[in-house]
Amino acid sequence: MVDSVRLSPQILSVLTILLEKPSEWSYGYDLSRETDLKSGTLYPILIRLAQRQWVESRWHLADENGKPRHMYRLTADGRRAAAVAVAGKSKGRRVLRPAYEQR
Amino acid sequence: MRLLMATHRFCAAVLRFLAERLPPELKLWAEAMRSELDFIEGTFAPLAWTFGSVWALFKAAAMAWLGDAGRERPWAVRFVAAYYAVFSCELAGAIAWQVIGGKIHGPWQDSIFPLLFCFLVALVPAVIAIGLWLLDDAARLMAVFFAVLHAVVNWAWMNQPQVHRPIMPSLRIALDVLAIFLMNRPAVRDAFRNYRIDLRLKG
Repeated sequence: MVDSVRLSPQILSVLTILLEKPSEWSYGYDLSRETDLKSGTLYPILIRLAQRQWVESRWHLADENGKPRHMYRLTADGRRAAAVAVAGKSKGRRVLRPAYEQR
Repeated sequence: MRLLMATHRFCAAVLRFLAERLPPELKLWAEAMRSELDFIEGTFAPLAWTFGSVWALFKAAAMAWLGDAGRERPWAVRFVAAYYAVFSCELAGAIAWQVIGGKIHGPWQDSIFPLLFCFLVALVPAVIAIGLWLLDDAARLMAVFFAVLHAVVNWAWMNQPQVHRPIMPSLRIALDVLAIFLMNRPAVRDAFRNYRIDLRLKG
């Protein structure tokens, strides 16, 4: 059964921001400010993207105060899918199949 | 400054409270949301962050539960549970109509306890529906017993001389027979037998 992601504007904005720095890690609050999404919208998106293995996450000790923070970046599959999604945004495509199905 | 610190402590406590009670796959996300609080400035921003995080965790937990529910429960169980839930609503609605519609003519002191009793009886199908949803085998047996009882009562009612249109009792009997058949299917019995509720002791 195909596991597809319905691309809402909010998911697209998260993918766009993550795609701008594909190899860099982003913190949750920073993503929230950059996408202008509240935590109640952002984290369900991150959870769904992580479940589909488009986003990976890890803990990191922040430099400012040494407290741990969770950070996120696109996986290789996620980068491919995000590139297709962002490019296809103008064509009105609303459903994206996982990148491994596009090979 | 005190308000700021108190707000941060309150928000962290709320998310920590949730993190301790969520399943492992969501506990990580609750901790992730809580960890961001240390880097959010102001008084209202952490509150807004916490409110959104609680909502996100609630949605994720509900989706995880519903997703599990859909995978584990055979369609027959969901169908019969829905039937009993609707049945309960219908009974409770009929009683409520008696009260709201002014159908009760006697004094309230004489009517209140019979009404309460009828309302409690009306909740029995709802309790069976909840038990079916939780895959409790006792609920499955109660569902069969209730369906047999309901079918017998409708059969007796249908054979009364004053009943001229037996369509509704016949339909109810047919639904009861269907419920009895579905609750005794091997796949359904296996679903109730194989579902375990793990009890864990704290400490």
